[in-house]
Amino acid sequence: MIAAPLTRRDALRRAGGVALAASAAPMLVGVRDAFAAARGDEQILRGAVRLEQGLVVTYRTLVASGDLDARAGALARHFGDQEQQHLDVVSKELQTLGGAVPSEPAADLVKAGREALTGVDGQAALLAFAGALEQNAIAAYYEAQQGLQRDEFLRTTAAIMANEGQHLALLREALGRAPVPNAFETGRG
Amino acid sequence: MVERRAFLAVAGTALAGGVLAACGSSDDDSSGIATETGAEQSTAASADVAILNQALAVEQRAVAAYHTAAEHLAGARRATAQHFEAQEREHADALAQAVMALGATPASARDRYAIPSLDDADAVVRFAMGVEQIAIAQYLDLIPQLSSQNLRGTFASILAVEAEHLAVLREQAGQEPVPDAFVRGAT
Repeated sequence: MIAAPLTRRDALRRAGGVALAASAAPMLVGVRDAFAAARGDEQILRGAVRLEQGLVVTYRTLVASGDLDARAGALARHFGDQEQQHLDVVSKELQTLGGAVPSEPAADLVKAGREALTGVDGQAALLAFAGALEQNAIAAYYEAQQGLQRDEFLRTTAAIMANEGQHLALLREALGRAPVPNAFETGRG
Repeated sequence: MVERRAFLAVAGTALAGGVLAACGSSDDDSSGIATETGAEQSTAASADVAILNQALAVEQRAVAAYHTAAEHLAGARRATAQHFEAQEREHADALAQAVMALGATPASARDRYAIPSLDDADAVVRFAMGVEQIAIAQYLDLIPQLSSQNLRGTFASILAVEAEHLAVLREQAGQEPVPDAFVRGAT
């Protein structure tokens, strides 16, 4: 199932009421599009690798920004570590299919990430940006459930999607919002 | 009230599967069973009904658990339990609708569920955490068994919410809310 392309406006709307700089849009769109054209298990897993690379880079950048207080910094560090675990596992699964793991991280992703975060200022906006990325990741994994064939890949990506949902819930909470506003977490809300 | 998009994702797929099963054959099926014969499609739909009813039983138990939990809690914890109960009810309603869309009868909730002794608020939260852990493990087990691709997505969207519930409950219990990078639950 191929989703409709994510527009810049869609991407920025996902920040949930916290203003994001327009420069954030390419990063958000890029992460979301990691899955958009994927067909078959190998392509979907390659998309997952790219997506997780983007999340790892983002959380590392947030931690290094110096703009987060101790609690938010610990949250970002912890989530970044978990994204790295996702990356390691989906990379191994991609290799079991004979697929080459993309070099880490993709240059265009780093460029988009740098530009995105250049325009994001202050803790609330940084956390909202992370939340928007998590929401995009959830949407991507939601679609992956409809495209993957092998049972072990379905289980792995569902377990990751659930973890991204937990990240999103805590990010919402850190922004003073209800942690679980919807009964169905599709990443599209 | 069931979120419209999620409901349509469930009901739409179920309806498509039912129609295809009735027709006996098809060239194109968004649920991913395009090359199967009518009999095979009917079998796949029956299997999905059984899986939907298993998930429905999980949700009915969760509704009962949160209802009991709310009665034993106060303040913010009670509000959380009531909110989660409402969301579990939305899951149950959507799953029941999907079963009916496939022409089958949803499993009925039991008259009563085994509830452990809940001596204090911490015990209630631990009980709710256990219910969520079981639900998560069940959904992870059921997703690959579904023949409908859209239903897999719907189950995953519910799984993610159960994981979010668990994180909030862990926080209320003073535990690390997101200890594991892969949320697998427990049986």
